[in-house]
Amino acid sequence: MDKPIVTTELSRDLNLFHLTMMGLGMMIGAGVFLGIGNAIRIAGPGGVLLTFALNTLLALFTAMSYGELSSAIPRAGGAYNFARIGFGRGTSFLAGWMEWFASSVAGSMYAITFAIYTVRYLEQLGVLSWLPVHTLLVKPVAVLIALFFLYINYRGASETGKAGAIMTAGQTLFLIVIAVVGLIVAIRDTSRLQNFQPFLPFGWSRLFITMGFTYVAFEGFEVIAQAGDEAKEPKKNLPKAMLYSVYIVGITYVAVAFATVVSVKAGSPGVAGEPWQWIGSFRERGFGEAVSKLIPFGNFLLTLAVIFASTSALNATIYSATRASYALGRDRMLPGLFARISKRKRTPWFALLATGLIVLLVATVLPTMDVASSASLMFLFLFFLVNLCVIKIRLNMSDELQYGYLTPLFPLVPLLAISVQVVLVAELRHMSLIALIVAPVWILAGILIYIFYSRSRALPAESEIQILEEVVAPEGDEYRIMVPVANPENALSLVWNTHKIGSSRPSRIKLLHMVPVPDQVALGDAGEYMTEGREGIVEAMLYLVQRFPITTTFRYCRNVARGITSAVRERNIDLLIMGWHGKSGDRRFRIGSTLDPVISRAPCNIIILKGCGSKTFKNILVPLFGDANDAFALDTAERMVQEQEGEITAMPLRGAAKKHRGIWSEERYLERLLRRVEHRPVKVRLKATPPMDPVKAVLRESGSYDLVVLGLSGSFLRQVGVPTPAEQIARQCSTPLVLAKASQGLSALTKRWI
Amino acid sequence: MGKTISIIVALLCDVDGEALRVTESQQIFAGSRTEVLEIIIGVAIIAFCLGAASAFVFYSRRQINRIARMKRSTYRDIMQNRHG
Repeated sequence: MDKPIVTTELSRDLNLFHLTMMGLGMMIGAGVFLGIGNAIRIAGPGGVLLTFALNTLLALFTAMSYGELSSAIPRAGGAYNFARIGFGRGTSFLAGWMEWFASSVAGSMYAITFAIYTVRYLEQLGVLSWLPVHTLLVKPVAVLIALFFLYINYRGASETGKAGAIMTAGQTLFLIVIAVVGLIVAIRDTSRLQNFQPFLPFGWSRLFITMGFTYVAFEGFEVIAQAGDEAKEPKKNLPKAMLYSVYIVGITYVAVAFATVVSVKAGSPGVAGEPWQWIGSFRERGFGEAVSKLIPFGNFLLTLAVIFASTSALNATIYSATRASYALGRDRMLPGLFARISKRKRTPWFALLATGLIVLLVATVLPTMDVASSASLMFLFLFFLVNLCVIKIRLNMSDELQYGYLTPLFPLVPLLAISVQVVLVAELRHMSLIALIVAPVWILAGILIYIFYSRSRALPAESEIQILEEVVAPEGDEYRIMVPVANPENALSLVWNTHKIGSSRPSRIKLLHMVPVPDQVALGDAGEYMTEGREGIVEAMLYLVQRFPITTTFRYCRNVARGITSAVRERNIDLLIMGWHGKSGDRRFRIGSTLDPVISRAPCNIIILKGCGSKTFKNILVPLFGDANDAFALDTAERMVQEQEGEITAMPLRGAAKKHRGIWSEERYLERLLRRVEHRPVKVRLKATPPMDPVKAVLRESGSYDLVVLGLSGSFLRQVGVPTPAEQIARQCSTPLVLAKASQGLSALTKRWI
Repeated sequence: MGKTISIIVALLCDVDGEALRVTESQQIFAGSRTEVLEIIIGVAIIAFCLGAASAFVFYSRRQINRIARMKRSTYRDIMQNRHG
């Protein structure tokens, strides 16, 4: 008898406040306390403000990408998940692998920061006078605090979020107090504003170094993305929490940096040289020294704040690292043990244990600051990857995903973030030599694990398109035509017309049948859906096998349009021929739910046939819109028309002349078009357009012809909007119709690359 | 605001590039023309960054709330209901 199947899943109990606080907690960690002094030393008093302001905007750009992806794919795994859907298994494994390491090492850095400040404070109280060397205590304290937060994380998401939220609220409050006091001091004593002179003593270029150095303090939104499985209303709360946390932290950092600079009065006792030079001379402790001058009990309060900050950051990083390794285990990229969830606590206990081992090992053995630099390097790489993912996923899957948020000014914002992140990665080389060794070693280890373990064991992703069965003919240099066949009824007419279009040049025809598999069915069981559609393919093969070399492919996928465009890219197709029943079943689409995305995204020439059957055409009407598709429409008409007896009528529409002002005359335009196509012995005559709306004019004329061939313009980025005149004609025309869209240079190249 | 304007006016009038002598602004920022210009540009960049960040956050918040009210929210649905 089978045992009852018990499934466990992560509990959804983190609300917007918890999520925002988790992000804040990871950001307001050791980064800002250690970063301000160094930033002042490197870039000057104005430089530190500019550094944090520019980083706020840059981090917000990446947070918007994270927000869009998290809202559409709200699952544990963050960047790992996005890379898997955007780029496939190999890249996603590396993303998850680096995310795990970066978060774990950052966690051990926070544990040590906590230990250093705790021991220092106990020292000041005289509690440790019996110990000969106080620093001996640092490592054991770091281990103890790491163990405590590992246990907190084991207790569950709710406890994790609540514990983090309380500590984060404390440290944020402390920073706000410092900022307010700084502002009051500056207002009461305006001479302190002279501390900002010189504003940028070493010039503007130093800003890149300080931006790279302090960017670590803005990486908290990653932990929010990790909470996808545990967030309430994830589509709404995940992007909001990411944006809020970056915004709050950015404003707070700028205000605190301002307060730090004005906290010291020039010429006061103990302050040598310019105030900014004095603060910078303390490097990592610069912030602390400045704060101790600004508020009473500054040292005590600062210690308290650092303890709060480092513990909440430790909590968040352990959480983030655990979820990254859990996601790797869930998809069998790492052993299945990593995906085991405790039935009692509902937390991934083994992933937590493995993360704990890394945190403890690094905290006790390795030089933390240098390894933390390599963690920063990997975080920047992850952000770079996520910005690429948001572009690719928006262009390829925007009709399938249910978004909760869309990045504004797309794709400018992610592209800008990518460019600046590249510069920051380059600047990080100034920070640590060990980082430049540790990061590649960890990545290399990840690549080896993927090759020898994960690649053969990983579960197929939901979005992956599988080739089920393929009959391949030898490859050659011929013109490559792909014909997706949806049902047996249309197959013969498609093949008949493909024959006509392809017969004038050496061609290779690839027949494709996509097998859509419902979401409820595992991709592994897709074989059951093979029967339907197979007859059409076989029929088409029998007809064409005598004339052309053929490749036939069966593919199963979740989405037909994406399957077709991916096949076009993979096989480097020159021409895609598809059938259309003449109307869109879904009002949201202009032509059809499959055709619209394919027209927008397929990087090749496209011909769409409507009602063409197996007829021969003697009289063809080609309305000319004055765009790049006119020549291709004319070329297609010449291939479709009956040789010798056939005639083509070109009808330049009103408005086409406007696009060619200065060179326009209908005769000259047609002459130029005919020069661009491979002109065959077919009569082409020119017809003037009646003085009326172009759509009405074509519809009225179409009744007198056997076939209408229309050029179809389709923008690379514009996937929605009002129908174009060609689309309006296509929908209303009762005459057999062909839509022709030419692949256009740079646009097609970009589509192939993306 | 008044001080900022007086600094900008002084910068525009300062033809020989020597130290500024503006009565009120002198107390806070007394330096060469380049230094004061650096401060003005720097502060403008900081204001721009924080202003742009605020605009992005508030626009995004509105958009998230609007999308949350939609039954279907593919990219196409959202674009077609941009003003809905």
